[in-house]
Amino acid sequence: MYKILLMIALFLCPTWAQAELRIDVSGAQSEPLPIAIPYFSNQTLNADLSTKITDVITADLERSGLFRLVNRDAYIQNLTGVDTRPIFTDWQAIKAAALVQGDIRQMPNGNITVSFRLWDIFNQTQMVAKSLTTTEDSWRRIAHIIADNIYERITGETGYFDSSIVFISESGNQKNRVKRLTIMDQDGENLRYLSNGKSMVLTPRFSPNMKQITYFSYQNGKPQVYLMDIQSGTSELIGHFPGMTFAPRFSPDGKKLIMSMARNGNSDIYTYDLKTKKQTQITKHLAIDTSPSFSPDGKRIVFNSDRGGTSQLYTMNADGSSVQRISFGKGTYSTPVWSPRGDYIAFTNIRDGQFNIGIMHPDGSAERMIATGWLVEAPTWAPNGRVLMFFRQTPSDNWGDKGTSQLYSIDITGHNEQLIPTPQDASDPTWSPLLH
Amino acid sequence: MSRSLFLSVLLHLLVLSLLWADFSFMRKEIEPTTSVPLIIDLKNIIVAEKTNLPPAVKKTTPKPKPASKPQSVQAKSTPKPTTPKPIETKPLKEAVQATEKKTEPEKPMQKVQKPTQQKVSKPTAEDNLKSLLASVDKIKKPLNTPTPLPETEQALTEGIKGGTEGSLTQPLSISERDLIAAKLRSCWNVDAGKSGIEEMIVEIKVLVNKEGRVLDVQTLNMRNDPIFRSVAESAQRAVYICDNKGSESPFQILAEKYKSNYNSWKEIYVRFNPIDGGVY
Repeated sequence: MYKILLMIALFLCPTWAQAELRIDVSGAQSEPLPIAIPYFSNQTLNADLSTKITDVITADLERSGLFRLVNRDAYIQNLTGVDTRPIFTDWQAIKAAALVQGDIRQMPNGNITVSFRLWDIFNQTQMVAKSLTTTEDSWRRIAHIIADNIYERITGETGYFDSSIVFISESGNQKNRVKRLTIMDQDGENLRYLSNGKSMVLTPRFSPNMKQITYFSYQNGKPQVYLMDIQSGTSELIGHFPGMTFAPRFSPDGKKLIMSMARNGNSDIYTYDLKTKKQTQITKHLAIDTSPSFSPDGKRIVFNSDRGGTSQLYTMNADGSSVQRISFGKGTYSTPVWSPRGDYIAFTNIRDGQFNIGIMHPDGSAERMIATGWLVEAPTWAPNGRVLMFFRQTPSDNWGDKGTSQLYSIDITGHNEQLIPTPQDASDPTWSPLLH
Repeated sequence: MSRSLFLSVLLHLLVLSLLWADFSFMRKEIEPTTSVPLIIDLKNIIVAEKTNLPPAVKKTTPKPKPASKPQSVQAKSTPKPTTPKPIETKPLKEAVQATEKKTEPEKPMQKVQKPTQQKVSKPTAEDNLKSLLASVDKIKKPLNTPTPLPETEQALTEGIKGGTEGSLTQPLSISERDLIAAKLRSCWNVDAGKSGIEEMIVEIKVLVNKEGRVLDVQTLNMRNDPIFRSVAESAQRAVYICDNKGSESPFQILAEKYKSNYNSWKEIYVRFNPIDGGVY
């Protein structure tokens, strides 16, 4: 009896299995997601506020290269507030995949509250909804934070719009350049100068808590690493090193600085504890070791060294042990920076007379160049490790005129290179961590 | 001496007569290809899921006639025109029933000794050729005289001797599956730079109504990972975007082409792999 039942089951099972249809889809399009962002309804005294906030959100998302605004003239439904339920078929008809609706209200104390909802048009679900309150003059940050929320919910990765850039503003003839420490929002707005340009400054780097900047400067006549408090604008010399210190960066916990010190024609890597003021030598080699950068977990360090004959990239433990060469491609490698998400190391490569910005995995695999030019240098990662910024210089004439230096951002896929507008020439950018 | 000579002559005559019979038989079969070209409508030929022909179905009728012809495929191709019910599962079930009944009165070994069963158990190249020609005949007949779709489908899904793979109930050929997959791929938009995207394969279950409209989409392997959720949502979105493409929707193509086989595609399992064919 059992045998008969078993046989029946065996005969029937394939029939059931065959009743379902299975399809394998391999590969996909990779195009910006069409998103509809009607202007937020405005219930404040400032009539321009809706346009300004909505435009900043839109610009952030579009600049990422992952979103495309559906033309506002095509919108069928007129959303009158954040609580109006979308008619999904109206938005499907104009091929919007996502919709952001919002409103801005004035609080009794003068603050503004911006509320928004993000909808998945085809799945017909609300993806995120939030209300944010701030003073009216902080409307730009609110817009960046909303853009980050939208970006995070749709892509699954953290945003990077509510962040800042510190860089060197350059003016004057190439032979007599004035270089000033400058800070601005990642979209080029809210620009402020942090130094007066009397002494040369280079390689500024943010602390993880965004309160300090470390940089290299010739101030006081001696090329050394300094630490500036952003709020007060005061600077202090770091340590009492016998040689020239340069290429500083913070450790991920913000407690140490790592930098190079050059003495007697040799250059090694040191750390400097900001609390105990203790300096520790990390590399001891006759070669030039420089440009150190911590991994996000603080356990490894990437740097460049000419110990193999040419400048190449190496990684080592935070105490200097277990040194491994990771670059084996053509040309020379320099200025390595570990990605905040840990999966890539960005670098500058020079080969065949051209400069390149490239990325590779920490073990040296999957190397690829994503930007090239007469001079492209100093890559820096967005807080989400998805976008890189660097500066691109064009050659000047024999008299040192006409050359330009500008900041660019680029996606790690090598697409979506964007010029970051600055009022003057710019170089040596460093992206801050996310502010919120 | 004379006896052995007689036997030799007899044997030679026998061999010659057999050869003559075979050659004449072969000539008759080959003749049509030289005179009138055989037109095969490619729309009616299904390449099954593993690019192979399904195995022959032993019995399609519950009570086979005792004096059945040796060419079993021809003998059993007598579907009742008045039964246009879903044909995809019926032959199998009936075959199952038929074998079940037979196992009761007789031992399995005895069944094998039947002429029809011997051919199935020991298929030769000739058998397979005849079976193939027989199946081609079945395709040819509906072309000459248009017949209702269910009959055509039954003829195609009956299988063939020598076939080892494929499915009698699976209506889609490889090219049709590729078409459906290509359409879904064109609707699928994924950000290529996502961290770890190469490991994010999304399995989706799509419920479709008889008109080929999507009723429900579920992710079967959702993870507690925002990036994976993003990829899964994009896959779900792809299904809906394709669903909104009217006659170009892969689901409506299924509904139009396989109207009578609704049960075979009302649940569609789609495996979205962003990397295999490349994200472009």
